[in-house]
Amino acid sequence: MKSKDNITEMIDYLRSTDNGNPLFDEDRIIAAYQKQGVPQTLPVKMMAIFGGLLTSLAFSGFLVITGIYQSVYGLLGFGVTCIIAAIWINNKYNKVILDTLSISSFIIGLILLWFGLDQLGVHENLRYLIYSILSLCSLLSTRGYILNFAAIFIMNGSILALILSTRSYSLMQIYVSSLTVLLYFFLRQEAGIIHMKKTFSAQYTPIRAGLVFSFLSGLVYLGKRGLIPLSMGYTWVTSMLIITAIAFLMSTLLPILKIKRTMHKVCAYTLTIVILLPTVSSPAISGAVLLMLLSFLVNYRTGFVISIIALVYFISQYYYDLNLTLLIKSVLLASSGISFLLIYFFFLKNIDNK
Amino acid sequence: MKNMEREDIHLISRHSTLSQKGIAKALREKVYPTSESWFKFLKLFFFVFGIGFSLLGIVFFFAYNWTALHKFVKLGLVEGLIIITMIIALLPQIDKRTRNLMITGCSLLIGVLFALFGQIYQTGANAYDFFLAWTLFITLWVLVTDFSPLWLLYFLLINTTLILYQQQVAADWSVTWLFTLLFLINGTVLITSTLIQRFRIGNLNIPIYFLNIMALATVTFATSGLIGYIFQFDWRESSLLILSYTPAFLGGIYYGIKIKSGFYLSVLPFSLIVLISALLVKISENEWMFLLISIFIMASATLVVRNLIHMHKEQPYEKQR
Repeated sequence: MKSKDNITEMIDYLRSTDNGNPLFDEDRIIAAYQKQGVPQTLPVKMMAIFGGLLTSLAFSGFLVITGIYQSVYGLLGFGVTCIIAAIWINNKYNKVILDTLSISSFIIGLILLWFGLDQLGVHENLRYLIYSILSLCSLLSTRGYILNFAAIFIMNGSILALILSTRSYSLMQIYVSSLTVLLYFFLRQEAGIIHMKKTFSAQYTPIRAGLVFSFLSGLVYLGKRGLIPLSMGYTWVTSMLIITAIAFLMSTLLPILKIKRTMHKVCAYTLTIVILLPTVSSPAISGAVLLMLLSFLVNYRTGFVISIIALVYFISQYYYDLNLTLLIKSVLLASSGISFLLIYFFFLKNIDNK
Repeated sequence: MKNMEREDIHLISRHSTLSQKGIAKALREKVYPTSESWFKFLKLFFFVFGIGFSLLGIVFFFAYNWTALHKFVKLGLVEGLIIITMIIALLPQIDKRTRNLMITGCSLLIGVLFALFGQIYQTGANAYDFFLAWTLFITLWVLVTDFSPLWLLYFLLINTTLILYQQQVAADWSVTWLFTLLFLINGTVLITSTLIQRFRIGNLNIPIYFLNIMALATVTFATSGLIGYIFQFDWRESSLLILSYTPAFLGGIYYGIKIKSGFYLSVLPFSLIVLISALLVKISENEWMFLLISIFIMASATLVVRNLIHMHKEQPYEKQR
């Protein structure tokens, strides 16, 4: 836990960042640190998630053997109770210790509800819709990291499943495009979002993680050819949107990189667009680049590492899917490699000059 | 001021009237990367991707002409590449990190060479000897380079060789025995490297991720082997595994408590939870047992989380990472 001196020091620093004489409720801040205790380390999160999953698995085994699934109202009643209990536990206690309990209760509730609605004869698509609405409700009404993350994840999964099962594949483009805008806004406007709604700031990290995973899962459908039939016309639009977002990002990036001369700026923009234009038929690549730059810009390590892995995967997939002979592929690869190296030496030279 | 992080800014701003501009400024100054780190990142990015793309271009070029090449040229190409990389790696002006990376690249190329050799001369269907040869012929490099990723590759190869050997040659080895062997090998490596790390033997610095990956492998093999034992109940086969895993488990827990490692104190209890659940399933498969198991897992996982949090609370905030 942070010492009191350390907290006071941080408050003093924050006071200095703002000219408008901000007020700090020191007692509540210290109390919040005490209540929070320690940040949730990775082992704690992993234990809660895996514990929750195993519990749900064993409990599902129990339900299957008891035959509870034969009673529609048993399933529905039990399912809804579990979901409400998960949200209630989370809100009432909001303790990391109870995360395993609330997450397993939430998952069990969703599983039961699924089969209950199935037996009621509710159509699959409607069930996906109910799932996404339920996750949204849970997102709006809970605070815990894991429950929020799970809610976003389930919401994303239901929307993807809905798009796939209704075969309205062009919606995938709209979905990924909206996620692009949302993610861009969410990462770039961190200060604004925290400031806008103070209670929301506790949910910032899980929502961010959920958005990143949702964005990448959407990109997979656009990046792997043949997974879903895509119309090139729409793909082009999604790509352009992502490239525009990268160009927007450049406008923040150039001052950080201390590129001030107009000539240099034009060069930087042209280079970026020239590098990205060949990928216009694969929004997945530019999407991964966008995520990588955004994550680095806001120092979000998980997002950064995942985006690099995704980038390597999407590029390999892109070349694999290309309908060209190995000779042309080799020329393409070597020439992009050489141009990257040229940029590298161009960069190096410039920095040495400074 | 000591490290101020994103979470601190979020938490404090929640209980204050700090303006959006103030928050943005604090984030910029304390959390977001500086121009130096941006340049470092961009340099690395373009260098790695430039080299990677160029090499892939060359590889694809040979792949295009592959069938037309004579086997002497094919083998010569790979061997030439190994020799050239090795010579560059041995140049005195190359720094240690680049040299290690190049030798690791060479070790991967040895695998490519043996795969090629196997393909040209049709050296039989047993893939284990391919991995065995690969392992043997990089041993010297692994020893002299002392580079953790290369060591990881080495142990990955040893494990793969053993698993394939059991599948393809040693039909009389049971799965439990294989897991026992894998557990003992990885466990020995883990204990040795932990001791080296602890007592700074030979001035070697072993990174935490290496130890953690080895520990994860050790625990996974032991747990898988024991689950096999629980469902098959062959006492002769498993006594060695049980006898060796018990002290290793207790030692791991003791060590975890001693160095306050959240990793050990979550992985080992999780292994135990899985084992006890498997045992319970073995005892009975009726509905109440499953209910009991789900309650057991939830209670024990919660208990582990509680203890982890408790342990973290006792140490000062700064030391947690």
